[in-house]
Amino acid sequence: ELLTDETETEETPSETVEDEPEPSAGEAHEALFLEDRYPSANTCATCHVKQYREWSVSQHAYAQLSPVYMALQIAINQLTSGTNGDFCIRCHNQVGMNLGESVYVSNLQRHPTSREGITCVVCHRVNQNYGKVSGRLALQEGDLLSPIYGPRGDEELRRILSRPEEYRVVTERGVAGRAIHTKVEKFFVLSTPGFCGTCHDVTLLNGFRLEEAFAEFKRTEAARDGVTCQDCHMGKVQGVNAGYEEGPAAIVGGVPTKPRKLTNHFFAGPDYPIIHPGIFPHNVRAAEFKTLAEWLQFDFEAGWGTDDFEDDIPEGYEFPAAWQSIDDRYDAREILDEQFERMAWARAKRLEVLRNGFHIGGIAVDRIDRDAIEMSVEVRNATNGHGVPTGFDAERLIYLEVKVTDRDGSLVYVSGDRDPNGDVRDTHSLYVHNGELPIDEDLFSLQTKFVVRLVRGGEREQVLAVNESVSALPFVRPERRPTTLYGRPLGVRKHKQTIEPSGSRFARYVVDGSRLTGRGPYDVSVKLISQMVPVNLIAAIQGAGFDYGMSPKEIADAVVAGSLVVWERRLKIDVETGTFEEVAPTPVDQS
Amino acid sequence: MAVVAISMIGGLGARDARAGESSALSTEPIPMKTEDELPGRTPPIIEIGPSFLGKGNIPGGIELPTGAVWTPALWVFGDLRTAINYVDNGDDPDVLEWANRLDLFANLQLSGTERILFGIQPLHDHGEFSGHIWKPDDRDGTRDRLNADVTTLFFEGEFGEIFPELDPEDTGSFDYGFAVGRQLIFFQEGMMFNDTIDSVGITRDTVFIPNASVDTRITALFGWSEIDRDNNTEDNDALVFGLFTETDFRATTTNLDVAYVTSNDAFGGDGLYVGASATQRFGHWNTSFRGNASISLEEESAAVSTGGLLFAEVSTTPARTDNVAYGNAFWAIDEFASAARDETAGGPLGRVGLLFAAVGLGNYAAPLSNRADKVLGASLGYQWFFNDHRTQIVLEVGGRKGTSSEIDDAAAIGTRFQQAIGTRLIFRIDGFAAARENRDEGVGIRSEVLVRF
Repeated sequence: ELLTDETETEETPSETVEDEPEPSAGEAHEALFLEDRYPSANTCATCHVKQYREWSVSQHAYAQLSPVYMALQIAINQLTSGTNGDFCIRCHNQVGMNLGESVYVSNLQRHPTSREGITCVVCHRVNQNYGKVSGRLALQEGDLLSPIYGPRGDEELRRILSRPEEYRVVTERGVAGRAIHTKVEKFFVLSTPGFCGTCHDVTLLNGFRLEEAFAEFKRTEAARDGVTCQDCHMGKVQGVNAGYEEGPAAIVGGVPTKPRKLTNHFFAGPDYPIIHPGIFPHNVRAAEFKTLAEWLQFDFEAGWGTDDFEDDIPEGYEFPAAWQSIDDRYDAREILDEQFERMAWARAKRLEVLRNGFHIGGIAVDRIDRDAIEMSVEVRNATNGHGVPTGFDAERLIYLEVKVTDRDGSLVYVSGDRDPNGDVRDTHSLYVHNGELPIDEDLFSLQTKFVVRLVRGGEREQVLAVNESVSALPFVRPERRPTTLYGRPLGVRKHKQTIEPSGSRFARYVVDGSRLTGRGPYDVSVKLISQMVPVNLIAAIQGAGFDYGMSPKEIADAVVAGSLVVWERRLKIDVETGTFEEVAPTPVDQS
Repeated sequence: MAVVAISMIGGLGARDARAGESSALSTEPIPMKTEDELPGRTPPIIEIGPSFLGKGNIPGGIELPTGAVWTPALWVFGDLRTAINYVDNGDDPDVLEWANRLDLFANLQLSGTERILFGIQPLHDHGEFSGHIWKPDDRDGTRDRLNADVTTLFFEGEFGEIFPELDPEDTGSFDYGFAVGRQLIFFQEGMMFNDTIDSVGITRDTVFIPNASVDTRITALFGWSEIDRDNNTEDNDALVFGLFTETDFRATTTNLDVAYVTSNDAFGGDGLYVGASATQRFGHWNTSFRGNASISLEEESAAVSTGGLLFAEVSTTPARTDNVAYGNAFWAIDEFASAARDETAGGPLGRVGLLFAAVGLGNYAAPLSNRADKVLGASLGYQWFFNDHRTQIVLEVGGRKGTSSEIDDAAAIGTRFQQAIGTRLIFRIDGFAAARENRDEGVGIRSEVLVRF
């Protein structure tokens, strides 16, 4: 505790940001050297414009930049004497781990390609079928000129290389011109579900099965029908098998390559960015313009770079050194406007994949009288390719918010409401745990729960899957039992509460007559809401601290603001006549 | 120096969101902890090949003729425990001893799903531990139980991963896990099985039950050797057949298990064993209910008998803490027998409470008998966490009452203190006082240092 206090007073986040040193000449050379081993996506963007644009705003691109994930993996290492090592960060940041970067260091101090997370080379410099290795695979090192790996081979590349005068490309090191990879090695596995399974079946080396998206897929009708992960998540429509776009895979020297099947590199999912728009989405122009630390100083919310702000700057207003120039501020605003546009596109795609993954039925009314209103709502897995939610399902908050109001708008019943932190009222809510709010007995949530085996007294749910009850020194080591036979280690497991492919669950609600005000008709609103993580996770990991100088509350608010209403149903109920009618939901602005 | 000492005991981190004064999240930025404040990776004592969850390049691996790619890595890890035990159990002479135990494992990781685990326990053998006994006088002397017996040696993996080309479309047709060799078989919280058996098991996991469950695991097992029966004695003639399932339903997790043990040994006998459990949370309460039955298919013996065991666990975490308050209860009807119990595993009631469990090191036996014959009982306990969970205290009371005149009643109170020191050491103290029918009062105290590597 003494050490913690000293640290907090000695180092403020703003100091961290402002004091980031400019790279020295040596560091610049180092960066160039590393580019020879793991080329940046910004390099690939020169020719693969479409793919870069899609990837740059994707979850893959955000994987390492997320302050929530960073705090989570640091917190787990903190609790396990560092024995969790690079387990989390290996998947999120293959390049950084290969480079030997610290597991703990801020993203501001990482190599630019490391910050790109699941970047181009993480898939396209893999040449073996490693199976379910939880992301622990070898990347082939090499500069831009070295071979890359793709599902189709290099017929088109050879055609381009045979016409250097048209495409103006060079394939020799040290020669001026537009460098291009010299070979595309055919690696068909890249287009199979098994390739996705190298990372999307996550099992810790102690046998703890954290994520099972690939294992689920292999049990499905989709797999039997030959529909792949790529068919639904890299096609025209996010979340369904709707075919692929056609077009040039690259624009080389301003000349498009021959049209072919194109895959979407966005991979929409439930995650969304909560960090400064100057550093995410990845943007070549933004990266060339200012450093991450400088971008973090750009107060876009105050209106910097807009006429409204710049025409009326308060007297004595001070800008950081990097943003003294009004031209810079206007240029930054122009970049941010593009960033906001891309994030809006990503949000629309996220809603698309969620709507293709989840369906809800109408509100079924089972009883209406003065003693009670009883109703139920069906929530369906609309896919036949995996459970929903899948992947990191123990930290995915998909739930129903149900409100019943009388004709005056007074709330007579609610489930799925939030506590002041933004949590639903389950046992992980700090307000519920501390006895300040009652538990939401009717809550319908599809969040899987981590469960640990207590020293005695059975098992309990925990936000973090670290068992501190049995030992004062939790360690990650290979399990001493054959975990294949048990499906998990002894001390910790998941209680999966997701919905199997094409399956459904029913949420049931009873509004007791004593709650009815007599001022009917009553309005019933049901919303299926998706949020990337519950707020209680932020509380559980805050001891590790957050990157970019963010506060727990700031992160929580951004997480809540990013949640989406996937579906909504409304009903008007007249208790006196015992009748009801469905009404159109009020449109929700989710931009 | 004092600050260093405090930080080593107190750990290098700070976390206890639940135990905070306020439920509201802070609006003040919390800077990322620096490397100096965080623990470095604590590696196994031996790493050959890619390190255990360590950064750096991962080698390309070896492609097998089957198409699988293996990247072998060997990690040696385990625990060293050393303890001073003093026990006065009421009737027998006092015991004062120094006992040691080493659980040493070599894990040869071949891929993400395949591995070979080799284990030895070189400091103890057949329930006797290397060390020194001072009391009783007639046993005074140094004990050397050094041995190289292989206590664990098994291979586990998945057919589909070893032969990926059999299922190039990833339809899961060969997605069966299996484990073969000398391995710990542990089902129904150790009440049905708690033994290291030479066996082979096959598992189908992530099985869907339409509109009911997204995750069911089914495991079939055949064991042919190293089978210890309910009397903790090896039955060289026994064979084990078992079918074990676990299903996550929306509100509960259930286990349904059945096993059959056959033996022509004069001291053995055939037995049928069934177990069912349901584990769930009701609001703030964690609950687990378990029912097990053993049916002797021949004449009853010490190895197999007919009986039932009902067991309930309840716990909760009090507001503003991470602490655990628990209460467990059991009722053993007639003479319940486990299908297999290791020679050092004692009886099946160890999960009832700390007072019902042996510490697994020396002659410091369970203060209350863990045999499940014509008896009922319970325990109540509380686990406190301090100092970011690195300091723990458990206080427990427990008792058992015979449902037959031949079974003695007993009650005890006990405590356990644990303190983590640095990143590898735990210092622990246990103590108890017990009153037992037809015996004098008993007491025990022990201290232990555990080194994790």
